Amino acid sequence: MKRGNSLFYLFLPFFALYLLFIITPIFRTLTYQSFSYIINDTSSGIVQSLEYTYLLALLVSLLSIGFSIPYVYFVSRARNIVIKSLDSLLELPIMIPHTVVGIMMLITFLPTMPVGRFLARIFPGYGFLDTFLAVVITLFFLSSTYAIRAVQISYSGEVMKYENIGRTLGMTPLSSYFVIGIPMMGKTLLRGLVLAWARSVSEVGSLLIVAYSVLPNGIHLAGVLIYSQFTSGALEYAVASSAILIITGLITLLLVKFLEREK
Amino acid sequence: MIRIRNYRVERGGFLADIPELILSGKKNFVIGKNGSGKTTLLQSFAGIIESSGVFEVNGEDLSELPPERRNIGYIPQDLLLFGKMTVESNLLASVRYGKGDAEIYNELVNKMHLESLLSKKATEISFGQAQKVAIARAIISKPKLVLMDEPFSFQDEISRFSLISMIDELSEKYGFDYLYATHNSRDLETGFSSLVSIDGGRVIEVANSIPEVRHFRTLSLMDYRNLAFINDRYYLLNPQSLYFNDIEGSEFDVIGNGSTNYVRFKIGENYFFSSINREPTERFVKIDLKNAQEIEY
Repeated sequence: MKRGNSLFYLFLPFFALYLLFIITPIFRTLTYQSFSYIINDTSSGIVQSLEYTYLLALLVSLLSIGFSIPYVYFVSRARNIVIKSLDSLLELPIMIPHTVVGIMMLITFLPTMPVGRFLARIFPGYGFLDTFLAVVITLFFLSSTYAIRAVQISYSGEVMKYENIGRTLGMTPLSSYFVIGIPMMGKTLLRGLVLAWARSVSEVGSLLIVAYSVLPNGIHLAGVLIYSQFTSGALEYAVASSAILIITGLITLLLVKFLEREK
Repeated sequence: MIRIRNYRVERGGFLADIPELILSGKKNFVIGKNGSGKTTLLQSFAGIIESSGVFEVNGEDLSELPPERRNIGYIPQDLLLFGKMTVESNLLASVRYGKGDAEIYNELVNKMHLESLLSKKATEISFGQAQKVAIARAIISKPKLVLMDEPFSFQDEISRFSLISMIDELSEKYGFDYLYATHNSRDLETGFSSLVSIDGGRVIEVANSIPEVRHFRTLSLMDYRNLAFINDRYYLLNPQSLYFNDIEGSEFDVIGNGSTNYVRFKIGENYFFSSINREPTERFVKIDLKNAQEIEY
């Protein structure tokens, strides 16, 4: 089929160039030092840091997916122009510089601030700075958009039509949603989960502000740890830690792709 | 019987507006070009999109009811079988979760020869098989009215006519009326109780037979047999409006299937088709406009 399609061959270099652009820095990071140097770096705390980072990112992505399901249902079925306009605010966290997001979180959730003060009254002992709560809230603010939009594209574009057919067959909104809608969204939910997770893992700017020292024994979350290694002049350590993050991240993403295919 | 009054549907800047419409027969066609509003209207009748005004089926106003309480089956063009489910689960969806009838399920599985498909996923069957499953799925839900939005448009004429005939039979047996949207005027040859022509979201005309049709624009009937455009006017031709002779006129071909024959001839740049009641032996044909019916377009 492709034979004789000149456009196909014309666009091939764009594909190759883009792939090269993405792969080159990754390849450079993985080959900057010897493999044994990277193995040695595992004692720098990056492994523990990644454990925490990945688990917290997973928690955030699960929360994002959990919210995306009812959010998307509501917005997709709303006809009100105000609701549709409010939905467009969802892209705002992507646009705001992440250090600014960190500051926004502080002035909102610190126990000395109005919202934080309110929460402190309900939950005695409430704290925000350098807590896991701060990490989760901040990452949720930044990552949930990705999960919600991934789910929304699939739901409002396709799934809703099937649910409507279910309803013409006499199914209630609840049964058509759970019997037809949710099973159709399996892959989409997984994609949303991965997007939110990957976005959370890659976050640095806001965490520098709200959760610089959140982990015990002076360990930082992965992005922050690599940043602090770099600013302290230890480029080799920073690159080695980056290599470990890339390798483990890649393995995770490949695993998810495999699961997605199995599904 | 369907009765519509002061009915309005708005979607994405498109407005469908029907002051009054009564369809008293079982087999109703909605015809109109692509984009004329057929899908919007049918989806609003099914309750999938919002509308205002009165929409009655057999005397009951359904306009305020949600889709699951309307007892209206809806078969869209892309059929929308539930791909994650087997054919059996698709067919039984209304029995398990709605007011579907297991007895009708058994009857239709036998009648439509669906037994071998039951264990297959809906994505594993051919489009022709999927069309039958979609029809059966809608009928098992015991609808009073079935709305069909060009579900057979990808089929050839013979298959389409056969499926429409099957629906006719099922409509009689299970007592539902149906509204069949199409942009293909050939479908009308299967017969109908009412033909609703729509254009731009408005009902242009309701006819009970082809000779009653006056507005041909909505029917996309430019190629429809017996329609002629002469001197900026439209005429409906019939055997009496053709004059065959050996001296002057247009040369013609006889086409048809034996029971219904047509002559095809050319005047200027336009081809015309007109039904005939005898096999002409003459060489030329002329149109006698005095015996042709002028129509609005």
